[in-house]
This record gives sequence, C-alpha cells and structure tokens, in this order.
Amino acid sequence: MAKAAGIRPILRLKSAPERDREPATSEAEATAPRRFVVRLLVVCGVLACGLAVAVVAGVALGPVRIPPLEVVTALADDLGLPLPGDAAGGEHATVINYIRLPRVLVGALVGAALGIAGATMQAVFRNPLAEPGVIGVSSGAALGAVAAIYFGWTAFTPWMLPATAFVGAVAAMGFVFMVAALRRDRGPVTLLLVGIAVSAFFGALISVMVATTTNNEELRGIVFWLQGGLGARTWQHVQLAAVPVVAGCLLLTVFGRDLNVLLLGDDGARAAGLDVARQRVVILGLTSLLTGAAVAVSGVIGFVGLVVPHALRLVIGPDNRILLPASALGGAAFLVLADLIARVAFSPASLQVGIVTALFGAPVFLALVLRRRGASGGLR
Amino acid sequence: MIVNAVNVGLRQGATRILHAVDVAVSAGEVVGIIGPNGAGKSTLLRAIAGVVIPDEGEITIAGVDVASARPRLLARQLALVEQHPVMQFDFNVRDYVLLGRHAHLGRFQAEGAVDAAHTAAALAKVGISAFASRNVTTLSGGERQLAAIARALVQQPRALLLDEPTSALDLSHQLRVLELVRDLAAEQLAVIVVVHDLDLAARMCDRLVLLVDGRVSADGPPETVLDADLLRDAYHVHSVVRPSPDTDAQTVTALRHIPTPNNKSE
Repeated sequence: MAKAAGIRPILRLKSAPERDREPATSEAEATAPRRFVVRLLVVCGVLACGLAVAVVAGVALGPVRIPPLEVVTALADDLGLPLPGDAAGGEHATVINYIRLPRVLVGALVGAALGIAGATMQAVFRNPLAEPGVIGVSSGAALGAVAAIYFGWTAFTPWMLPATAFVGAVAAMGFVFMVAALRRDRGPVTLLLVGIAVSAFFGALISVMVATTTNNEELRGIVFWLQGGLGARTWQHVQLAAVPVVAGCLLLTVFGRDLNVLLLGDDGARAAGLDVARQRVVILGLTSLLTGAAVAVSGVIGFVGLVVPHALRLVIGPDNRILLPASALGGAAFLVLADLIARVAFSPASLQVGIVTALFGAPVFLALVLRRRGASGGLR
Repeated sequence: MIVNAVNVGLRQGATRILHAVDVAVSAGEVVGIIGPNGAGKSTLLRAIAGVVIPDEGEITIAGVDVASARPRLLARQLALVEQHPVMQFDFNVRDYVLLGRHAHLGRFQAEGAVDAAHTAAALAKVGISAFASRNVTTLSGGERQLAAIARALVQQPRALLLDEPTSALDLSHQLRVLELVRDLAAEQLAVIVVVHDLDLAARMCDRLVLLVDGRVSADGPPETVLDADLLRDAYHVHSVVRPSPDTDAQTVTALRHIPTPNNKSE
C-alpha cells in the first residue's frame, strides 16, 4: 500500500498543551484577525454615517423644508448634546419633534429589523430568496397584530401589539420551517410556495376580521397592517419598537459565526461543532421577535430584507459576522430613504413606503431568480 | 481505540437500517465500509458522526460518548466529509476552510494567527493552496471534495469520516484522495471511509467492513473480505478476485449478475 511521506507537523495530532504552541505564521496570516476587526469597523462606520445622513435628510425634507443645520442642532438637542451658541428651539421644532422625527426613527428601527432578519433567514434557510415578507412571516406577525386590535387586547397594554405580532411571526416561521423540513429540502421553490400559501391564508384571516369588525376606527387600523407604511407614527411607536429591535439586533449579531457554519449544511454544521437544532430555534426566535416588532409598528413592508443583504453581500462578501450588523444599519438607512422618496417624489401626493421598496425590490428579486443556478443553491 | 461502535441498531420508521453493528478503528488505521446500495453504509457513518443518534448501542470517539457529547467537544474529536459538501454562498476556499475552526473558537473570539496557520497548512497538505482565493461555488467536484477535506482537517480531529469521497472524481483526483488518506493515517488519524469502488477500497484501507442489509457480514483485511463467495452473497454477482500485479492490492472483476427472486441490487 502506498504510504506516502511528507507530513507537516501542524496536522499531526497533538496533546492539549502542544496544540497551543503553533508553528510560525507568515505576517499576512498573523494580521488576519486584525483585518477582520478593521473591516467590521470600517463597514459599520460607513453605513452608520449613511444612516445619519439619511435621518437628517428624512427629517429635513418634506412639504416644509427645514435647513439641515437646524435639523442637526435639534437632533443634538434631543440627544442632550451641548450646543454651540444658542441654537436650540428653532422655528420648526414642533414639525421636527412631533411629526418627522418619530416617523424617521420608526422607519430606521423597522428597516434595521427587516434588514438583519432577511440576512439571517437567508443564512438559516441557505436560500437567497428568504425574507420575512416573502416566506410569510410578516403576514403571521400582521395577523397577530390585527387580532390584538380586533379582540380589543390592546386596551390592557399597548405592548400587546408587538407581543401578539411576535406570536404570529413565530407561528408562521414554525409552520414554514416544518413544511420545509418535511420536504427535506429548503430549496427556493419550496420556500416560496409555502410563503405564498402562508401569506394567502393569514391574509384571508385578516380579511375575515376586517369584514366582521363593527367599529370604523378599528377597521382603519386593521387595513393599515395589510398595506404597511410609516404614516402618522408617534413616539409611542418608537417606544414599542426600540427595545425589541435594538436588543434583537445586538443578540443576533452574536450569532454571526454560527450562521456562517450553518452554511455547511445541517449535517456538516453539526459535525463542525454547531448545535444546529438549538441554535436554529434561538436564531429563528430572535428573527421572529424582530419581524414582529417591525410589523407591529409599520404593517407588512416587503423587500427590505431581500434588497439590503444582497446589495451588501456584493460589496462586503458573505461573512455573516459583518453582514448582520451591516444589514441592520443598511436596512435602517434604506427604509428611511425609501420613505423620504415616498413622501417627496410625487409631492404633494404621498406614496406608501411599501410601494417604493417594491419598486426597488421586485427587480432585485427577479435578478436573483434568474441568476441562481442549480449548483449554487438554485431553483429546481 | 479511537472509534468504538458497539451493537449499534437504528430504525427509520418501521424499517431497521442497522442491526447490532460493531466497528472499531484505532489510530493510524483506515477502515473502509463497503456494501451494496441501501446496506446502511452512509447511515452508519452519520451515526458515528453524531448526526443521527442510534436507537441501540453505544458509539465513542476517543472515549467521548457521541450521543451525549456537546457538538463542540465532539467536533474536536472527529470530522465528517460529506459526499456532496454544501457550498452555496460566495465564500472563498480559505474562508470556507476556516469555518472548520469553529469548534476551537470561543463565542466572541475571532480567528487568530493559529487558525490562519492551520488553514494554510491544511490547504497545502490537500494541495489546493493555489486556489485558496477562489470562490467555492466555482469549484469542480474534485476540488470541492479536497476543500471539504481541508475544512475537516483544521478541526484537528482524531477520527476522519469520509462518505464516498471518490465517487464523483476523475482518476487523478481519486488517486490524490487515496494518497491523502494514506498520509493522514500515517499521522495517526483514524479514518473511516465509505467506498463503492472495491479496487480503490482494497488499495486505500487496512481493513474492510462489509455491510449487507444493515448487518456486518465480514470484517477484516481486504484480502479476506474481498472474497468471491462473500461478494456473491452481498452483491449477487459472480466475480473473480485476484491481487493486482502492479499494486499488490486485491482487484475485483464482476463477471455476471445472479438473478434472485428478491433482487435488491441495481
């Protein structure tokens, strides 16, 4: 038998203390971890600046134009930063603080939640088309939120809204995952078909509630969830979304490498040391929390979770440790800008933000469908 | 003994896939699992890897109980190379191989110089350093298999499990895998490999386990397991087995298929 020589010491099995003493590394290899941190900081820094610009533009532009400088000083004032001179309390303070700012902040929170949820779902399902709206999770959350209004549960506490939206999202997610697992195939077609079925089913249940509600006020509230938008958002909505979204984004970011390993496939990931079943429950639970929080304050807004992670992946690569925080920041900036376009493009008429995200998202979606081939997890 | 599977039984629904299977592999030994399609070879490998948990019996890797061990701990003892490694996202080969370091890293720890060094060494060992920067989705079948083996090696396992590593490969890649496996065994790795090609199995393995209908029908060196009578009962073929004048390993030439009333072979 051909027993070849040429053994490299590094691959020889070692006792534990020996494993820590590793061979000399080249300079390029030694700087690898530092490069990762630098990349993470640069990407997040750039996107955070983009988000800041988007927020200022979102607050400044609209039927009433507000000078950006005034917006910046008002924001600094809100954040309790020391102001140069006596610039506080500009003439547009009311517009900024009671109309524009809460709307922009809700947009940023919702965009962050949907962006990171999309990136996460694409990794968990190993499917480039997975996204909260596409696979029906947003519909589940919408049903939860609508049910809370329909049955009057929001009278107890406004937190019922995100809570029931979360429950609806978990139910939809669980259902989608179960069907995909039963088919032993999480290919795009299966997921999309399940998503269509789930969305149609939950949409029908919502329609039943709309048709049978006796209260006009209630009805208006319910219709809002079906179309989604950021109109008339108040500080209460900011409050409802802020805690679950910020907490969810931070927690999910911790799972970046687990999501990378999950790309090896269920068996491969398990053999590489990942507790696949448990991590998946935790990760999909967090994703549901984010989707629920987003839908609870904005209704179903599609395509954010699709467009943002894909655009970012083209630039920064598939490493989820960077892609996840980047998708949160990028999603926030994207939705704030989309809402800005929705408000000013056909002024004085105002579009719903979902229309703008669909205008960007649908072509991206089609491009992905056309680009993907069998070997790279394509359509079958 | 590195791998020790004792009395392993596994059901899938009402069907019994494995019956009282015993497999033991020591360090530096290459054990081939052979047998007809549907004999339970891949299931046995997946059970040893801890991917499926058997209903009966016990499997330990270097003393670690596979069924109860935390996956992280287990992954430092054994690594699995699947028949069709999943490579869907646009990682380059180096970053793909680096994923194998997961079990050695803490939750908040980024890969360090040690991990980079292991990766570079594994790439060199497997002979794919030249395309470390290529996108994994563009690799050919043979290159994928080699990349997957490199990823398994950076786990620094004591046991390496390979599921039909050569089935989709051309002659030159088959030979590379064969030589690589012998190399790894020489470094005291315990290797279990599921193989269809019996000639290749004879050259690669120190010992063969013939699995038929979920039972071990023979276990021993290739010279005893590759036996015309045993092969007739397992595969329902008449065959001639003789040592190759070039490699000294046994070669099997199947001559004629034996029709049986309940013929399972394809």
